[in-house]
Amino acid sequence: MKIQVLFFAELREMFGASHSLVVPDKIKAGEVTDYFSHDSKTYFLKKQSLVYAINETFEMPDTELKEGDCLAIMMPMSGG
Amino acid sequence: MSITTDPILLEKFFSNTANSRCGAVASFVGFVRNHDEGQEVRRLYYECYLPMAVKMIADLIHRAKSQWAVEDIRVLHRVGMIEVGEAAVAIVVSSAHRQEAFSACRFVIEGIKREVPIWKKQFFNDDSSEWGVCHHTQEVLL
Repeated sequence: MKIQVLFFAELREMFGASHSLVVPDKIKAGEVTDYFSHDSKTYFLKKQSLVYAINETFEMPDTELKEGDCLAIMMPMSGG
Repeated sequence: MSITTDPILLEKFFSNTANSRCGAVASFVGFVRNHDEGQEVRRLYYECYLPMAVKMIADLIHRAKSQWAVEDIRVLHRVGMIEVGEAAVAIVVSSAHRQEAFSACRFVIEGIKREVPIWKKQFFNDDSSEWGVCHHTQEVLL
């Protein structure tokens, strides 16, 4: 199935802002980081306390994705 | 719109906050300061996940209004490059009594820091830069 992955801020600088991916059905949000394991930045991604949003709603890392979902993989917020 | 790339004009933001039902107006303004943990800060860059940030701020306002008897809540967060001394976020809450206004205002700014997808990058005087981290985020979201 196809999904869209978004990165922001520090992760955007490292991995790019938006990616279209073909992934197995029922993949979990937290498993999508495996698709960005192409270089040394993987270690950075793995050690972070990442926050996930699916279609603009916060979700846990073990939430399963569906066809067409938009997954945002985010660092902890720092606004204000 | 609760997110802007334009400078926050505080006089305009705080205008028309009072009405005859409200005896209290509480506000918070977050400014860019010139230092952080011993380093001299030159400016901050704020980035957001715009549609979700707008939605989350609206949700914070809704939750605050559900919890406290407040008349009105306004929030404006600026994104993009912001210089030292400029406002990054402004909140104003009006209510009949001060306790509700203070509580709702505090709730909204703490919620923005923890739940709204906005990130800041600090640019220091020594030409280095660093993305900021709020260590409270995880415990609130999960």
